[in-house]
Amino acid sequence: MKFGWRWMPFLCGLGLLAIFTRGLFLEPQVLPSAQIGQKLPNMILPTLSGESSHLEKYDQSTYLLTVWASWCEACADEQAFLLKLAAQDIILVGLNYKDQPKQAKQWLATWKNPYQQVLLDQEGHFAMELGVYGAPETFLIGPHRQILHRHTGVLTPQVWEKEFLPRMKQ
Amino acid sequence: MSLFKVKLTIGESWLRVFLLGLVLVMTGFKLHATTSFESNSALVQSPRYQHILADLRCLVCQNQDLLNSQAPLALDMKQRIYELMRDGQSDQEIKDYLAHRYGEYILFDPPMSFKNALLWWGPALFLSLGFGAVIFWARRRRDLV
Repeated sequence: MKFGWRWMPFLCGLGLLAIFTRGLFLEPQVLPSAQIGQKLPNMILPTLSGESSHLEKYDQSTYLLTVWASWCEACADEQAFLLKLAAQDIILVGLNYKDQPKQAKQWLATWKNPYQQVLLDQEGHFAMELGVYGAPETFLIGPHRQILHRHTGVLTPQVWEKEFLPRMKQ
Repeated sequence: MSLFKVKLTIGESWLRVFLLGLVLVMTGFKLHATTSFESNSALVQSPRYQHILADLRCLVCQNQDLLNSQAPLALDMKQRIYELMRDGQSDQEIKDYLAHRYGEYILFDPPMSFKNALLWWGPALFLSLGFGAVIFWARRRRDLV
């Protein structure tokens, strides 16, 4: 009994150390989305090809909505992987966030286009409805426009396998 | 001596150019930061608007409030808050609007819920545990003596 209590400060210290060590590896800049389970806002946006958005044709499928911009440097980092996904018949819809259509077109010409549609959100209104706070962000949209998941930052193969694939199979 | 003086004046004139440049750059930033909705409305000057902004977190620079942030996203949010105020929404409605989209993290003063109850009551809990321990040991020692 006496022996046990003497070690208490040491154990408390170890406990604190464990908490602080964990704190070092937390990523407070990665925020959970408040939009999971909600419906994608019902806004009609212009697209890069000059039409208006028609997401209803994906109403029965699961697809990716990628928030990107030509000014976003990290967006180029995920482009190769997005092209790979597009080649695997995964539906990708781009949300061009606070960008100029001309520059967006140029950017896609440089880095290739994995998107079936690119929606233009020049003022960022649609993105605000989604709680977007940067680019790139990737949303997984399920049937009936339901938001299943959100990833902030570059979409890597690791993230894809860990966070997206399990949710797509459901 | 005179050579030294000449050098000094050259140095001074460079300093002047540098300061002028600095002032120009800073005013440039300021001009850039002030968007149209901010410059021409009494609403923006109102204490109410400033209070709401001070209660909301900038998500890009997370330890800053919206009032003091000039991040592009913060400017967008300010504009939306301005529009919501203009449309007659209450403070709570505006905060709910943003929390619904960006999550409770945006509120500097989040509402109490089961999830963050420990955050609210934790200090009191640990303080009473500490007092309890002190009283327990003090009594034990008194009994031992």
